[in-house]
Amino acid sequence: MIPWDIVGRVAGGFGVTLVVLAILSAAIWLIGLVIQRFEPKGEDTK
Amino acid sequence: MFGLYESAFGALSLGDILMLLIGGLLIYLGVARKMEPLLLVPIGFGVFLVNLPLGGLMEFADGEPVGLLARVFRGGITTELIPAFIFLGLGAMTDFGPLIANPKTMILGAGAQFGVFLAFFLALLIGSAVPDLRFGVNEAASIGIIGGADGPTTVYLTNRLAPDLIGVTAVAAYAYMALVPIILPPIIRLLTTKEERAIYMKPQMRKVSRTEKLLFPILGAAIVILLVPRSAPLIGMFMFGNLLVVSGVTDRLADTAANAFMNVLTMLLGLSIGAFMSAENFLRMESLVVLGLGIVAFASSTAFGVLLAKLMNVFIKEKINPMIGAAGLSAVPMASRVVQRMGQKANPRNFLLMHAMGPNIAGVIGTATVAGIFLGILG
Repeated sequence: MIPWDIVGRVAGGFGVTLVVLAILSAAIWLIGLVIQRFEPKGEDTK
Repeated sequence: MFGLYESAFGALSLGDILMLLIGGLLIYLGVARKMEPLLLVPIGFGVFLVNLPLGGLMEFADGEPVGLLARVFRGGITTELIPAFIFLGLGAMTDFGPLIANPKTMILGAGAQFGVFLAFFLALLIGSAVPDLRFGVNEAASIGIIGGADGPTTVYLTNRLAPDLIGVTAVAAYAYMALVPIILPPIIRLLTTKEERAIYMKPQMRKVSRTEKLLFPILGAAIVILLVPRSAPLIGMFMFGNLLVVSGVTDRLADTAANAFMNVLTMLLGLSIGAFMSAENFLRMESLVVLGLGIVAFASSTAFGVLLAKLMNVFIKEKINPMIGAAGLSAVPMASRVVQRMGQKANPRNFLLMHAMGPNIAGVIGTATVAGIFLGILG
């Protein structure tokens, strides 16, 4: 017998994965914006 | 032998012989076809060794490991040390630059986890239809994670949730990773038009500063682990390995993590996973079903990654080539190389490798996150 409550929670896990990586993506983008604005030109960019 | 000494010839069963051939096949694929040789050769030889009877390599006495590989398995796999430390080495080998330069491609790495959840559901359905298979939620999760195309994560999760399946799920994950150049192209061609495959992406990505590369592992670890705490062992080690590289002050440690440490762990992981695949562990109906569901997971992850990229193109101004969605699998860098090759074929001006590396690396983070979610619900 399939435990539908667990299946539902696991299915929600896909959405959680998307949200987590979206948040991480947004954080990186924001920090990149700030750093590019305030970091002096010629900073080591390797 | 001669009535005096122990010999294993009489103890060889048909199952053993079949597994010896399977071990030989894996070694052949690694050596002759150069398909993931660093993994298939140790796994193949582990399969080979354990199926030579009476060797005692995987012997347990009263639950305690006695055989050589049994001790490696107990000490490295059951304790989760090897998969977690392999992630440390992976982090030290990874350049997050392409991902930081184009962070929206992280969504593609998340989307490519779709196959994990689809295979989970299918495994449950099959398990309820065929009770003899004994596929419960834990087994279904261990089968589903194959779709993330990440060997260490598969080993880590399966060891926690369904240790009996660890041999077949690990072999499925690594074998399908080796088959990425064969699995990906037909799926990509099916879901994209010639024009879509030829979409040009500028090769020049923005320069990523050292500060950004330094902040990423620290922030990445904090954000993901705070949101999905049970991903801490894998994500934590992954980000730590990367920090060793980008800090610029721990070069010795980074070099060891990326080279000697990683090589030792890879050998031990491969041998002990292969050694788990004795005839009685592997030659069961469950193994065939796991292998079948594994390919479904892989294929649907690839497909969803491509479809998600096409959906993103509806909303963004500068179109992305939808093929990079297929690189959302964790098979770094093979998936990116496949996309690069197909991209050049469709449009010789295109250089998609760095663009594909973004979702490829995001896929590693995505699969580890999914494992953490599974452990949070089922562990």
